[in-house]
Amino acid sequence: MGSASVRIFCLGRPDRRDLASAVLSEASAMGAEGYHAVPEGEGGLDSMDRASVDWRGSLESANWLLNSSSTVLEGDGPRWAWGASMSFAEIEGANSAMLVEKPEDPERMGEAWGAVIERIRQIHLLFLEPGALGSIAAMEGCSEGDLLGLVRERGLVPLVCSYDPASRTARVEHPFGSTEVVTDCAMDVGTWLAAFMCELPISGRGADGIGVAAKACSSKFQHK
Amino acid sequence: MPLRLGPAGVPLSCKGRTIVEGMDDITVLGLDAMEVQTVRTIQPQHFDQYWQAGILSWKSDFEMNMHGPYYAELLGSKRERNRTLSKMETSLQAGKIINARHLTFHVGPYGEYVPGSEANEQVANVMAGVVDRVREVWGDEEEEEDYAAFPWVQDAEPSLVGVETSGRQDLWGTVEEVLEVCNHVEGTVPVLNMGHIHARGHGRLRTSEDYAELFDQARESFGGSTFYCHFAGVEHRMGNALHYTQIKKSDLKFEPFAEYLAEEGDWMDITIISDSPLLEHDAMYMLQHYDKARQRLLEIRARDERRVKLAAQQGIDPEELRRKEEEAAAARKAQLAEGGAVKPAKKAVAKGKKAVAKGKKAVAKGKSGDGSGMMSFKEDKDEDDVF
Repeated sequence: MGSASVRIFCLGRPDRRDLASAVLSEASAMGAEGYHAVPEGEGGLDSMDRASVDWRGSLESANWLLNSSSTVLEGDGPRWAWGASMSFAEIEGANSAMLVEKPEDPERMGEAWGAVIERIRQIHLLFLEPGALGSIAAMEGCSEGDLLGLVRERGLVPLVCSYDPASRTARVEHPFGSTEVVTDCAMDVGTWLAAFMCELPISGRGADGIGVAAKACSSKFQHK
Repeated sequence: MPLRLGPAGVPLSCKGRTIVEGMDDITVLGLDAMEVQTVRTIQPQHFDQYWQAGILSWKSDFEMNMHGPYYAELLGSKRERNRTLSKMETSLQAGKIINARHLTFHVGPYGEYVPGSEANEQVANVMAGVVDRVREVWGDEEEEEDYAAFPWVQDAEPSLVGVETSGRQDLWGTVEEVLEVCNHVEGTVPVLNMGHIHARGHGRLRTSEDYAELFDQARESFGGSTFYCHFAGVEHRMGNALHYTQIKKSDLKFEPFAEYLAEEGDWMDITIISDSPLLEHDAMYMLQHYDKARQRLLEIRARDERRVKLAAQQGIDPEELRRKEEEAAAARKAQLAEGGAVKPAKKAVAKGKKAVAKGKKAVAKGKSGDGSGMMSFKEDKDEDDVF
């Protein structure tokens, strides 16, 4: 599988009930080196001690920084940490992956998406959860089918992707075009994203490598 | 030359996220401009901080600017165009409140149009309407009392409407197109996004001469001396911008631009906004390079002045003195080279002896050693010093 050399640093909730933490956990199970910015505990990120995180040291040799759009809704502190993590990732050369999910309060989707757009230039991989596609498409004034391509074009994000567990279809928009693959076995959103992130640094960023990364994940889960 | 530098948005290192807090941080960093991003719908609660920012910019010498929607479809269908115009209306209303000197807008894809005069005419018509609308909302005499606390609405010049160059072949906005529209519509200003121009021109901005060519072109076809620029690193392929990067990681360097500005930019009134992923860090990086270029230029000028004075004292032509100085410098260099060549040779012999001695030691200890006398130097890691 070869994902042992992939390092992922994640700003997830201490209670690990968020999707970003789930993705990290899946990636670790696949052999990636996964690290949380905040130690395990209770509750959300609102009580986190921002000063205790060594962003530069942690991101220095990381392949990915994994963030979620819902973090900005947890308060000023988490929002600041969220922004700082992406700036340090940019400085240290770690790729920033942003997971956009439907927030607990769906009315705050606009706020979360607005924060993501503000930082769009620091994002290298933008994953849109299927449940969030409809509301983002409405905000962007386009159909769900066109959304990924439009977001990539408008924001110049290198990779914009989504995975639909029902149809087992992964779609990735990238600088070389568009890749759509059907995975061999059914898996949830977090598992697909974890596998994609583990595979991509190894398979490469070309069109073929992206296709392999989007598809190869299926073989990783046949043992599960 | 008036040069203003600042980031596109609240600085990343700013603890608060309001525009006023961002302005404070920018001033502390020694920068003096900011571009507010209205990338998403403006909420009523934003207007409070917009007023505060407007007052602060009016009372200080801080230039505020505003960027319209992050994408536009002005050449699209009527529905698409109206949707874009309604977003632009919000931006120009917010621009008035914030005392924006420039409002920057994209045009978007060519849509049904082919690149050429018809598309440019359509853009010019739309932009003329936007300029009229800006003038309507600024300085409305009926609103004078309502805006008594915000004097710039009556006293200041309305915002200039900026038309931005694009970084992709399928989007309207080559340098020529932008200059043509700005030349025909009074109240507009070209927004030269260097990253976009570089990407679209397959990496055309490499030397200070390339910048000179660009601004000469602007001066000839646009005629004005006010420029508003965006600068960021960019990854590009086949004439299309792929991704914005920090300046250090891009083939678009700021040094040649700084050199051009320092040497030939006296006629310009220019604002440069950093829209790199490292907003204020790269804005400061640009400021440092501009200062360095100015310093270098001042040194050259001081040397020239000194030469003229010396020549006058000695009663010779300054050119002749320059030649003599060059000859003396060349002779000094040659002398140093000779001395330098001898010294390393001696060192090499000494090092060789040491290496042999080490080799002998290694043999004596029964350890392997090549004893070749070769030495390697490990280069220190180049530390990024952005903070």
